[in-house]
Amino acid sequence: MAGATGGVGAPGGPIVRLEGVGLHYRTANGDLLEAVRKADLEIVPGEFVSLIGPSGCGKTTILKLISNLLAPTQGRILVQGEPPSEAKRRRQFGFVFQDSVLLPWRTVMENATLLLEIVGIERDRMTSKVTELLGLVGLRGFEGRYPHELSGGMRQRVSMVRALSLDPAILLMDEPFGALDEMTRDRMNMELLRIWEATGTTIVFVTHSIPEAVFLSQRVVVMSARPGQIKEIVPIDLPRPRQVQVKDSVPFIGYTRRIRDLINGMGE
Amino acid sequence: MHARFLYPLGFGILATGLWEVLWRALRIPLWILPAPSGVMLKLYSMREYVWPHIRVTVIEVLAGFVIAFVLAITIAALVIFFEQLGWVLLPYIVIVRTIPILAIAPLLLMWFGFGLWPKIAVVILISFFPIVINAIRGLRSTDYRIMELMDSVSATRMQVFLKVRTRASLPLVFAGLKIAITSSVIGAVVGEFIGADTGLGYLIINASTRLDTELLFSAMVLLAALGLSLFGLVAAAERCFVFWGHQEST
Ligand SMILES: Nc1ncnc2c1ncn2[C@@H]1O[C@H](COP(=O)(O)OP(=O)(O)OP(=O)(O)O)[C@@H](O)[C@H]1O
Ligand SMILES: [Mg+2]
Repeated sequence: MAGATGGVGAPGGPIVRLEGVGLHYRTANGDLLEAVRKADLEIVPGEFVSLIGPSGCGKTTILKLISNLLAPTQGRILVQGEPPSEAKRRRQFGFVFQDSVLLPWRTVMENATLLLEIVGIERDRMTSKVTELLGLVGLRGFEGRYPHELSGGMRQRVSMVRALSLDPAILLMDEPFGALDEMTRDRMNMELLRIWEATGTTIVFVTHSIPEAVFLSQRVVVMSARPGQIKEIVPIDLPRPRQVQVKDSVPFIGYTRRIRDLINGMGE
Repeated sequence: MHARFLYPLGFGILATGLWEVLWRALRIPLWILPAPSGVMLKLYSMREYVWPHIRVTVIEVLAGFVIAFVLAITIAALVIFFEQLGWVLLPYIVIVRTIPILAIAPLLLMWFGFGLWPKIAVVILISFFPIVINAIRGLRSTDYRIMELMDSVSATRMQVFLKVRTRASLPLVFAGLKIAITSSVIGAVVGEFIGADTGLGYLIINASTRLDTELLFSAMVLLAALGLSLFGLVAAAERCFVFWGHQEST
């Protein structure tokens, strides 16, 4: 899709680049809290990267830093070779949160077109664009339903369509399937991979599930807490397109064990 | 009919029947308490006389409620756009709320004359507060992640207001309206106590000075019916506008 890889950065260069990035939050009582320390990370266009680590290690914070919802207090971030604020201005970011945060008074179609309306795209183009995406996630025929009439998995699909509606170059997903049951989550994982392959979008994916991270990603960024730091980046070399059976394979289990040991502090 | 309505109706009929029976058994004198049957007969025989009083009170309630609604929503919207305006206004909104109506009643009569307007003013004074407080809270009650989403596409404050805040505010706006509509009925009656020659409040004062308990209770029955119907209308509007199911179960 147009815009998915189109950027201003040098061709072949990283789409996201964190150079010694640190972030201190100012808490309610005025103290500084170091949420992220000296993070270095390069993500290439079209890559699928997961962030994993204990609760509070700064995963959500890193997503917010990349997308300019927060500015780093140390270091520098470049997106497509520019400051993230520029990429944001060009609407290069799509968001999916843990729960779908749909507007309950809007139908599936109206929720999916929300961002397009804000941007001011004419109705015909909006409808055809979103209809295509709804087809991609298997929601054809549900256009007129309201969120409270959908299952959690379906709501999250609408949320994905909304995120993809502006053809973002980078899709930021914060535990998008964390609230779903395991079977639905597995299905959503397969669908996400299909969407990723169909759109060529770069995906930065936060999860608490080690198997999910290994199954989806090309690289898994393992973080440690207090202060949040990137501990290690584990490249995942498993056959693509991924099949569910890969989860029973020896290399897969090797990866999950290695990442678990890293998180538990036994990897050094 | 739905059990939701049958249950309270059944309770009312039972309680009224018991009252009637006890009233007859204990031979309660009329000037202490009338019997339900007596009240109903009174209401029926005086239907022609009572009608204009009902009309006047309904007009006062509706006019005051609608004006308070428009004022409160406008101010709530302005407070969302200009936060400092909220800092300036909120203390005064609270102060106005605490003004004892009876204390300023003579002033209201002096300013607005003897007609409908002093009563409408009392209705506005009483029903403005719950609407404005709940509307401000409702307009602010948006999920921060929706705001991040809006931020990510550089939505204007006006777009956020129109596409998100207005609808998101409805559950709380209706909570405020339900309090306001019943307060409006009280407001109109209190306004009529101050000085009136028509209206259900006037009827109550008139009946109680003459110890006409049957007329007094007739007026109260009419007030109850008015309050219930108006509340029912607001609740029906709520079910219509807040169809996604977070409304209170009242
Ligand atoms: N707005 C804020 N103000 C102050 N501290 C914050 C703020 N947001 C997050 N923090 C703190 O920063 C640290 C990192 O938070 P963050 O939300 O990035 O963690 P996380 O890795 O996403 O955790 P989880 O897995 O639980 O979602 C935490 O200690 C958190 O308490
Ligand atoms: Mg988080």
